[in-house]
Amino acid sequence: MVSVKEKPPLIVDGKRIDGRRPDELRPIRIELGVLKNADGSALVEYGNTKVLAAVYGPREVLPKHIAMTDRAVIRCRYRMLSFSAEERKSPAPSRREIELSKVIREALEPAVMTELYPRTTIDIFIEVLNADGGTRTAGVTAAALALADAGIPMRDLVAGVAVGKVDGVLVLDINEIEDMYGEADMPVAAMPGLNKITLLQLNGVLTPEEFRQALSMALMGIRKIYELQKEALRKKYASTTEE
Amino acid sequence: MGSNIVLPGDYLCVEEEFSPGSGTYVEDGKVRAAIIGVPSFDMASRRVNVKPFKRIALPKAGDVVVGEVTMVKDEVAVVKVLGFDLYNTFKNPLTGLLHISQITEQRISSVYEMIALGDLIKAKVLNNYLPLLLSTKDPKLGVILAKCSKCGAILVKKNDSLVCPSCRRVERRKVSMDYLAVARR
Repeated sequence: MVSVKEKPPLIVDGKRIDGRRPDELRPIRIELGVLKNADGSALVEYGNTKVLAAVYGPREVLPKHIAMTDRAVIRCRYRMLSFSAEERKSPAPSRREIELSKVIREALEPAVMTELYPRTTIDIFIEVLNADGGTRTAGVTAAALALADAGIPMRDLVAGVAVGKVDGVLVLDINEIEDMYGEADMPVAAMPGLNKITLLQLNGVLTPEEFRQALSMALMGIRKIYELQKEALRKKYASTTEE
Repeated sequence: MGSNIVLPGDYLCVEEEFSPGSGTYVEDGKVRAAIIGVPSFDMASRRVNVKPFKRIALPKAGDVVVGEVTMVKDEVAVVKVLGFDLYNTFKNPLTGLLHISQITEQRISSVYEMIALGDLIKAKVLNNYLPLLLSTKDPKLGVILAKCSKCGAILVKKNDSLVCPSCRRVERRKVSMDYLAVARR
């Protein structure tokens, strides 16, 4: 793709740059158990965004001094592969990746029942294979599925989606171009079964009224993704019981 | 059968109907599933359990495990716990500690008398956290495979003592009844 310096029109006739309605998600694809060596794994696609998550554990903590006597420690690493972005990304962990690792870990921590496995660690690896906006929320969705696939007790599945504001219109599940030229970007992750929000960030400016609208739009999108997560898990485990 | 599966966060019942068992938790008076599995409502004990598809293999107190001795000191042996048996091992090994007071019923002055580096042992777990604390006090527990300290050949059990088949050396261990290499008469 040619890198465009000028801002393209993002909303034409009420449709977005990729032809979606403002409140429409990108096509979502979920695949479970894609890695044999991991205890649990998931591959999630939001349109062109493709994220792989692997979970290991609960296992012994190394180095031992970071172990906690009353619960498991969750370690999370979010990483963008060198070929995931349009321009080659340096493989060294960037400030952004370190921050997102922490943000994703904190989005998952309320869901995982860490108190059941004291002095152990649960390691989560999130690899972005292709980035087209919304990688952190796709990462949360994939990691929650990988945790469930690993058999780790959780209060609920976590799903995430980003809402943005482009050309003055609130849009659901923004892609890279909308993120780049838009006025606001708000990633949200939640546990829909328990009505709890675990991640909320806002980059840009929204009025209080817009914020309320954006949040309800995000929660609507999260519910749809949550249903897809459940459908994928049911499908995998229904086939294992029949065998 | 397939429609019977519950997923984390799925509502099962209210706490007054069935009390929460394994694989479940209570939030706001509602019992929900914590893992992927098949729910079973036990009418006798009024308890709901979720039977998991993937069991997380962490040994509990009372379980018997096998492991390899990775370090021996005067008072303790460090054991790499491999699994519940040799054919069904953990993906990630755990660390276990075998204290001198837990090796035999009799008093011994040093762990070196009864356990050597590289021995394969069968032991009982005493606690529910890491590192695992182990005991080999039962006749069934103890060394299940050992190598000669001089030539490295696998020692053979002959009338309650361990003999090296190549150099005839006799070694002393806390031998398990289930020792793997036994001499035929």
